[in-house]
Amino acid sequence: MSFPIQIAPPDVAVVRIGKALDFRNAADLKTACQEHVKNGARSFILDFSGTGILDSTGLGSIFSLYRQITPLGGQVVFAAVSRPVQVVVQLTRTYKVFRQYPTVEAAHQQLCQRTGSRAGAA
Amino acid sequence: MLRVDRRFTDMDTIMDDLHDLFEWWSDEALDAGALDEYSIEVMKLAIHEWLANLVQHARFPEEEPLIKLTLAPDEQRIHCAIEDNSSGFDLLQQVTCQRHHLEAAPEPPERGRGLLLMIACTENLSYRPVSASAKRSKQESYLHRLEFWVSPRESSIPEALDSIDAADQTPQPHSLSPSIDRPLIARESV
Repeated sequence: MSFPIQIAPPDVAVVRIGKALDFRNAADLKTACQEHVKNGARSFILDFSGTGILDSTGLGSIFSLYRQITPLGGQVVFAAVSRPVQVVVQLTRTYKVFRQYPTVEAAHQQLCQRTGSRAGAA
Repeated sequence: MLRVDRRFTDMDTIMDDLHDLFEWWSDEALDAGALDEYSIEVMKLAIHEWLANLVQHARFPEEEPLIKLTLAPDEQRIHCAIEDNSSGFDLLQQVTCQRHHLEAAPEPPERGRGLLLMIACTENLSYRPVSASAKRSKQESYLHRLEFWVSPRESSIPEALDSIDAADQTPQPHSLSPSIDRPLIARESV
């Protein structure tokens, strides 16, 4: 199963998770995201709209991405979090790691502002 | 009917079959007022994690896989039992390993939180070999039984998810660690 990924300027990748992210397709997400990191993506918006399944292995693949891009100054954020995903986020307390936004657009706007302020500070 | 007795034998389709089952059962449970929406999601997650564990790690050395899921209303709770004919494992030891691994890791690890997550979802969990007297028949010979309950629990999911700042969040109830600290796992597990 593939994960549609769109690039949003400047270096943001929007990943549509789809119906499920679990042990059956977690490796596919890792592979897809790694390719985009190689190509310069530094921030990832995971779009969970309509996602009915997120399990511990799926969550592990997100942590893998997080560990890969955090040293590069990147970040992973969640958007349009569905109720099943929110249950996992809450039980694992991963809201402490991944910021959440109501929509992909809101997440993108916020990431662009942060990127801009970082560039301004530099 | 809220009671479910479902057998699974095909490990290639078991997860899809399970979620097909959840689709109609969730609506029935909601209509009957057995559990709220949040608690149903918690129950589904626990069962998914256990079956995913069976698919990925279980050994069925002598026979074709046979897994039976039973859901039954029990006063204000849902009772869940999952029996299988795998060779089983030491759940307590695995949970202890996962917890140590999680606590010792300098960064969130990629693997090793499935059983902890499952336990955080459940109450009065036990995992035991099925006794000889309880075995039903030669054709339906289960070797291990996982059992737990799920109660209605108040969702503390924020209605508005607008830019939740991680640093501003206080720990929520039903989090991983407190649940694992409870004596939930039967030591008789094999």
